[in-house]
Amino acid sequence: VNSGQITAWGFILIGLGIVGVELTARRPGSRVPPFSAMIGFIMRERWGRLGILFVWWWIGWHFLSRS
Amino acid sequence: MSEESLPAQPLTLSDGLDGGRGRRAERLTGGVADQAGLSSAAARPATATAPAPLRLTPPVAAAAAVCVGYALVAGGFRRLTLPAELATFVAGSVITWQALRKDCRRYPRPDHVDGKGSLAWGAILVVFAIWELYADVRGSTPAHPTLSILMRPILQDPTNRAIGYLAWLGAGIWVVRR
Repeated sequence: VNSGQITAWGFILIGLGIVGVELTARRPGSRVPPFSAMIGFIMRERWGRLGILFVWWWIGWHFLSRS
Repeated sequence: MSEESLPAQPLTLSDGLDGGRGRRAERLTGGVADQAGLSSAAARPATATAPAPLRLTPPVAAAAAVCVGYALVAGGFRRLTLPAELATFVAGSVITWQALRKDCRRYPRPDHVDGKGSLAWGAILVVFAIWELYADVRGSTPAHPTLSILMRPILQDPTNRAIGYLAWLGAGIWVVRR
């Protein structure tokens, strides 16, 4: 296993971690808020809304226009 | 009171997704309290601005066709070209304009979230940032690739790129409704 594969597996594990946290959040009585609630909470204020929109826009620009 | 007896209101762009049915329904029922996975206590009182779940109505089908067409065209653009830059600029501008409109219909948003519970998301974000920054500092080479370097071989294919545009647009519409 080379360092490139280790890096790639790190991203895969992070992705699995995201799925795991979301599944945990959806269990009844869980204290972990679902992803949608986190985003909604951040977007309550105008700056949070702008920030989330900027992140979304940047993802499209970086991965689709530039990569 | 019947639905037809309610006073008519002009449709907004977000109404185009369901022809305004959701708004009429919510004026009748008092809105949707828990569509965003929020606890009722945490959710703000439902308002008439909450969007209805997407259903396959003619306006939704037309909007979906536009999105698919856009993704197919944009997917054919090569990276680092002006058309590729414009593709994300134009779509990003439309979505952002819609998201910042005051009359945009949104799901109820929580007034607070559990602080300790939120740490799980914070931890994921920190780990991702460290992992990405480490690869970037090491030169973002095949030996230490950042996420975009890893995605590049996949997104070089126009079909995959079109799927990527479609997913990105879908995420944007999801954000607009929050």
